[in-house]
This record gives sequence, C-alpha cells and structure tokens, in this order.
Amino acid sequence: MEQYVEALLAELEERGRVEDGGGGHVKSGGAKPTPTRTAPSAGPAVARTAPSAGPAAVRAAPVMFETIYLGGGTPTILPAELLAGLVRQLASRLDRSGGTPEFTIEANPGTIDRPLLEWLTAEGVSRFSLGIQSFAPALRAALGRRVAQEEIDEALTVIGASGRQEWNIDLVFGIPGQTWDEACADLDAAVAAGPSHISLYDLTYTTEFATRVETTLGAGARGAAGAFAEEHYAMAVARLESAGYHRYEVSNFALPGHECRHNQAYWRGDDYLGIGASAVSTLGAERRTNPCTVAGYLSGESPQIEWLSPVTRLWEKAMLGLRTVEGVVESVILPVLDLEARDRLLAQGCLERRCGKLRLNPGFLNVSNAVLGALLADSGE
Amino acid sequence: MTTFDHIRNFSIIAHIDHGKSTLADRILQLTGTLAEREMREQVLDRMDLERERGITIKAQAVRINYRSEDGEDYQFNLIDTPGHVDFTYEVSRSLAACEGAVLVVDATQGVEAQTLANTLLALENDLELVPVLNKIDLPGAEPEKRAEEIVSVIGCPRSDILSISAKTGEGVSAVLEAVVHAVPPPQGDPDGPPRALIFDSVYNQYRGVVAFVRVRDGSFRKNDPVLAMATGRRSEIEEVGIFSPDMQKTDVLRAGEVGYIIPAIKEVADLRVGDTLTSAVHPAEEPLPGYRDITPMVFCGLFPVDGEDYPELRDALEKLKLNDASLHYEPETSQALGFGFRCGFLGLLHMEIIRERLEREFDLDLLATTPNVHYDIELVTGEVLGISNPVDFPADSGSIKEVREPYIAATILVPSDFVGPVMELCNDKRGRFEHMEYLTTDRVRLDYALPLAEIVLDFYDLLKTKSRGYASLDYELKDYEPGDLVRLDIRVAGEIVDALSLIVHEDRAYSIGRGLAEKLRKKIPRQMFEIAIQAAVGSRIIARENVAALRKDVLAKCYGGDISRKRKLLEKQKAGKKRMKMVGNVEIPQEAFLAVLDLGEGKEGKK
Repeated sequence: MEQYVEALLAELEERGRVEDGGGGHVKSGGAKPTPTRTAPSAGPAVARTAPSAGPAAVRAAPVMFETIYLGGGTPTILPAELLAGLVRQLASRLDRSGGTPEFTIEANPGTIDRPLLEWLTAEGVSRFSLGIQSFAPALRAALGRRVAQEEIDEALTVIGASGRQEWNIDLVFGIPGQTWDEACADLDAAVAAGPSHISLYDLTYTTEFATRVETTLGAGARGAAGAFAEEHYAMAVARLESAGYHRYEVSNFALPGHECRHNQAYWRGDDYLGIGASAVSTLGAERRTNPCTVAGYLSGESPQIEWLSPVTRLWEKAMLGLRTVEGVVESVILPVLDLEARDRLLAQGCLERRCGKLRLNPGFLNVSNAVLGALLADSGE
Repeated sequence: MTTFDHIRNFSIIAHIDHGKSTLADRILQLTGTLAEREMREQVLDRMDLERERGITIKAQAVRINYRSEDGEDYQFNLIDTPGHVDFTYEVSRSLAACEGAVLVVDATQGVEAQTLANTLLALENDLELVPVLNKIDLPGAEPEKRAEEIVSVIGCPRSDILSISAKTGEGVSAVLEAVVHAVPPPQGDPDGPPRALIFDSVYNQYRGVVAFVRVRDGSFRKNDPVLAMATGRRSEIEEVGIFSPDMQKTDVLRAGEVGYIIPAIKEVADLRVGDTLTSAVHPAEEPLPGYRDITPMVFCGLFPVDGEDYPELRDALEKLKLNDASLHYEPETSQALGFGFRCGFLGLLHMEIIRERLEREFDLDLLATTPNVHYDIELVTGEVLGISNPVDFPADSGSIKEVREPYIAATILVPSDFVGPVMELCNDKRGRFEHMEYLTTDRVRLDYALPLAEIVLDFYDLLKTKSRGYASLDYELKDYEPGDLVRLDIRVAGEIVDALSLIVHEDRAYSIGRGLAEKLRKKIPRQMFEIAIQAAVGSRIIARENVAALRKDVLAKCYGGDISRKRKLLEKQKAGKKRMKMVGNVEIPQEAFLAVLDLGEGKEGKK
C-alpha cells in the first residue's frame, strides 16, 4: 500500500507538469480514476490542471489544479499516515489563485469518523462523496456491498454534524429485487440526510454481476429489474427535483450552486490528468488509460493510448455537453451534428435552443441516448 | 454427315429433385461426351445458383455422339430445360425443339404436379415419351406402385417403363437405346427457306447475344443475313456452332440439328425465346408456331438498403436484363424506402433468383417489398387502369367500377390423406373448385381456379405445411376475374407508409390489417414518443396498435474513463440506425417492411 501511494505521488510528480513545445496543450483538466479491484483500499488519485499554470510557465513547472478528485475504491481506508501524506501532497497542488478550489474525496461508510473528517477538511478537502448505493441492507448485499446499517448511520451523523456544505450521496436504482417502496425509501432517506448533491445511477451490469444475478435470482430477474427501473426512473427524478435537487446532468442532482465542478469539467470537454491504476487522462489528442491492476501499475506495464482527432474531441464535447442542462454552444459543435435530425428534434421539442446554446429538453434526459444517437453525425471514425 | 435418320433431339423432364440433372450427367459420362476429369455434378447447370439450389434456370443443350447396340452412330441433342412453373413458356419452347422426352419419375415419390404439367406440355408438342423410374436403388423405392401412376398419367404399357438409378448408372444404357428406338428422327425441309426455333438466348459479354436454336428447315452459315420474325430484327450471322457441351464453332447448322447462332445483336430482347430465325434474303413465309410475348406476372419494389447503392442497382438490373428478356423494371420512388425499382417477374422463383443474383453477383444489399400481381381497374368513367403497384390503386373507391385480378388454373397432386386440409386451404384462399380425380387409390389430383395474388403471398408454404410436404403444385395463368378488392394502407404516426400498402380482398382486409399492425408493433423499437400504427382501408381505420414511448435510455456514468466507451456505444448505435428508414418522425427497421411476408401461419423456410 505504501508502495502504491509512493507510485501515485511519483506519477503526479512526473506527469503533473507543464511541458513546453508540442505538449503545451495542457490547459485544464481533471482526472478521476476508477476503482482498483485488487486493492480497494488504494484509491488512485486525481487532479485537474489549472489555467493559471499557463503555457508560458517555466519549463516543467508543476501544474496547479482547479479541482482534485480522490476516489476510485475507498481511499479513506488507507492507514492514517499514508492517507495524510497523499492528501497533503495533492492539496499542495490546488490552485488557490482563482477562488476556492474543489477537492473531493470518496469516503465510504465504515471508513470515516469525526476526527478523520475534521482532519481532511483542515488539509483542504472541500467535498465528500459517500457511496451508499442503497439504504436497504439486502439491496446493498445484492450489489456486493457489505456495509452495516450502523456504519451508514454513523457516517451520515458525522457528516451531518460537521455542518459541511458540500457532500454527495451515490444511489443506484434498478437493483434486482428492489420494490417500489424500497426505491422510494432510498430516495427519501437520501434527501432526509441532507447532502448538497445526489448522483443517481442506473445499475451497471458487469458480466460477473449479471451471472450472479441470474444464478441467485433466476433468469428473468435482470429483465424484470430493467422493466421496473424504467417505471422507477421518472419517479426517482421527479422525487429528487421536488426535494429541491435540480438535475444538472443526466445522473447528477444538486442543490442550486452545489454542482460538482470536477465532473462539470469532464462534460465541458476539458483536459484532465488521472493518476493511479486504471486512471484515465485526456490531454489534448491523447487519451491514456493506466494499467488496470495495481500490480500491473506498479510493475510499470504500459498504459493504453487512444489518439483522439479534433473531430472526435468535438464529438465528445457535444455528446457530454448535451447531457447537461446547460447544453453546449451550438456554433461550436455544429460540425458534428446531423442538421436534418437537429431540425427534426427541435421541431419535436426534444431539443431546445437558448441564447446560442443547444440542450436537451429536460423531459428527454431520461432518453438521452436515443436523442444523442439521432442528433450526432457519424463521427467519421 | 449425319442424316435425319441418325439424329435424336430430346429433353429430360421431371419434377424437381427427381433426378433430371443426375441422369444428364450420367448420359454425358456414359457416352464419353465429357472426359472423366471434366465431370462434376449437374454439369449442365452453369450458374452457381443453379448448382446450389439444384435447379435449372437457363436451358442448356449438348450434342452427344452415341453408338447404339446395333453399331449405328447417332447424333443426340439433349436439351436441358428449366424445371419450374415460372418458366413454363421456356420449357414449352425447349420441348418444341425436340421430338421426344425422357420422363423421369422418382420411384420413392411418384408422379408430382410438375410431372403432370411437363407431360402435358410434351404431349402438346407431340413428343414421344420415354418413361423412366429413377432412384430404384433407394430403400424407399416402390417401383410397382409408381409405375402404376405413370401408366395412369401417360397411358403407356407398363413394359415401356424403364427402371434405373441415375446415381449408380444402372439401367442408363437402356435409356439411350430407348431414345434411339422410341424417339422419332427430326422432320423438315433441308432445302427450303431456313427456319430455326430460338429456345433460349443468353448474353455473352464478348460475343453479344447467343441464340440457342433448333433448325427446322434449310441451313444457317456464317455471314448469312438473318431475320428474327417476331421482333423484326435483322442482322448478319457472326458464327454458328454446336454445344459439346461448350460452344464449338462449325461451318453450318442444318435442318434437324441443335446448336447456336450468334448474330450481331446486343440485346436478348431482340432475340426472344420462341421467335423464329429465318433468312433475311429469302425469308420463310410462316414463322414456327408458338411464339408468345411474355409479360411479367409478379411485381415487387427493390430498394437498396443504402441509398447510395442506387446507381449500382440500376447497372446490375441492366446487366441481368441483357440476359433475361422477361425481367422488367422501372424506377420507383418510395417515401419510405427512397429510390429503387419496381420490377416485374415471371413468378416467385424468378423473383427470388433475380434478387439473389443481385445480392450475390453484384454484392448489393436489397430490400424487397411484398410481391403483388397486376390488376385491371375499371373506373366509372369507363377508363381501365392497369396497375402493378398498390400505391397506384385509386384512393377514392367511389371512382372504381370494378377491379379485376389474374386467376390461375392450379393442379395440385396430394396423397388422399391430405385432401381435406388442402381443399380447406384452397377455399380459404378464395379458390374455386373445378375438378378432382384419383390417379391411384391414394393419390389425388385437385384442380382449382385460384387468384394469383394468393399464390404470391404464402399459398405454397401453406400447401406444404398442410400436406406435410407431400403436395405438389403446378399452375398456368387463366383470365382476369372481378373481385372485391381494396387497398389496405398502414399508417405509422399518421403517415401512410407507401411501401407497406397492399391490395387485398375486402373480406380479409380486417384480419390482414390487424395482423400487420401487430407484427409492426413488435418490429418497431420504442422511440422517444408513442407511435400509433394503424391499418386503414381508405379513411376507415380497421386496426390500431401502439408502440409505447421509450422511458429510459441512458448511460448513467459518464466520467473520465467512461467517455471512450460511451462514444463507441453511440457510434455503434448510429451504425445500427443506417439500417433504419425514417418515415415522418419514426425510425422503422428494415425487417418491418418484410412483416407482410410472415403474416401466414406455419411459415416454413424457402422452398
């Protein structure tokens, strides 16, 4: 674990610098690693570069980040001294020149207590994200989350008592076996806990998970859960919105002014740097995915590189930006739109045009794939 | 030079799969016409499609030198004919080029509808028949029973029927001897004005049109000026020759002989099957009898799946037309399917073959609309419209006095156990019973007058289902008869989908409309809005189905590492959409346009 944290910091040291010459495109970015299954305790770290570092910066000057997201797995189960070192190093790279930077940490129930919370806050962590998934123990178990109810209660109490402004609850819907009442109860419990932000995710099936669902709940369970999720979705969205959480992206809801800036950077199509196992970075034309296991990462396995053409990046900008209520400046993404489809979708009311921006009618965010599939032109890839 | 006495022109006729091509193969082998190394199965079927499907589409001819048991040398001309009802006219012309025919009947199956139809054609052309029971080596062979059927069909003595196995070669030499003795030598005037019957014509990329002919009178040589008597087309002969079995140039083609003539002509349409070639200088007074203008019977729209392939489709049809005078096509524009062609065919098999050739030989991805027939519509004004596309059916039913549709005379052979279900089917399909006859105690011949439109849809498949595969069908076109026919439209989200319009009998409009709407509901994926699917006759809605709106189609997580995945997912989704057609605001998948085709119950695979 120690070795992993060292490697993370080394990667930050090496890659978190402004290059000159051909690589001077690092403008701003964030990075969010995905969980490392082999070592769930060791979360890869994330950082987003800030414009303040500027292209004119001294050669190989360290980049300062507007937002940092430390997540993927559960970084808060790192031993205190390791976590402290990591957090301090990351916090030292926060760009404080342009207002308050955002530093999010994933802190899962069972791994957080009051002293840790206070310490992290003091070190500069400004935002906490709690992966609760469901408030019903049986459903959490179905998802493979063995978190006790007391631990959830404890985490919520700790955060609630801290008077924190910025914190998030992750909820999953469409869990096989979930009833309508349980779905409502999850939403109500999340709202009652009073976070500033709620992410509502459609259950993602891995092959492994699909098999497990099938063997434990029967062949029809996934289909039934899917059909139920469809019923459930509109209700869930309405319930969150009526509680004052406005939906600013397909899966994300926030009290006004509490949107997650780190994620917004992804959706604007900004650059971001991701460090750690399985972390993804997009810097200019390069999308780089680190080796997905910690062992592979530590042994220096090569990352996967995907080269993105300017058209592809624009296509992604449109695809991501249109998932937000803010929408995208139409003139910018015009080259990647199917104009005939755009006009049709506007006429049908699926799309809206306001102040030069194009966005999905919020009523169609639930079917955003269908709209985007029609609207975006062939990517030419 | 071979005299008339030593020429035998004959054909082999059989129901499909009764062993016609195998017998031809064996004859070629036995007479040494082909060296062993040139031998392969179905050697006379040149097209890949023919070989794969085990059918003959184009006629072929081959000259065989045969030394008979009494030591005489004979010239055999074996004409291989197509074996399907769609090509009845071509078969009749091929038979007209012969003096005799070997009638092959499968000893396990017995007489079938095509056996009967072909026998009738042969008798109409005054051919001598050599009846043969094939496949006697198979365990299921019932030679006695099957021979009895043959006797009752052609009225020959039992002793005339030869028993053979074309597969093993057993008894095949007896067939050759029977051809010598039973088939009469050709007749004609070797010195009269030349006349040759065209029994097929093919287009060759390098040589232009090649006419397959049987010379009746006189002779044909290179550089002779010739005239095609029906089309009036004049030309000069570039080459004459025989088939051995490949084309082999000769100096002259004489009366009684079978061979080919290459005039300087570039289109098969100018050298029609059934036409008579004569001298342009000293023409014969009368053409040989039997020429008919062939008109298409079955129509459908063919559209490229990818609109950009339209020019390729046009070129491909042009090329096929060069070799197939019976293929008709004209440009058609469908609101739903874009630019394509309305094509006319001799029948369903012909349609299938053309479609398959377009897809295989020209690598086109095609969408075909439901096949339909030609209708005559008499308006109250007295004007008569001939239509072969449902969209041309007048929308205002008040303007129509009468609609007439083509009827066929169908001959169905069926084991007596299945007579009930088959008669029920015929009644269901608006058939009119004409005649029933027991060929043997357990084999029945049914004659029905049936609307061709019903045959075109699903009759054949149903017939096979109802008789567990034992019934066989043959038919010929009769007249047009009036019927209570209406146009059935399908509206999707209020818009008529032109490619799905049908002309149906009024009594069946409701059930077809309902079935179609239901099928479409299952085929049209849910979209952003609810979609109404309606079946309508005129302005009257007779069935309605809804496709509920899609309520959830999201990819929940879309952060750093998810972006490439999401992009690829959408790209894949877009690629899938290329196979969808936009009608108004609704995306309709290609297979929805085939919904009509699977309306029939108990649909089984292609025949």
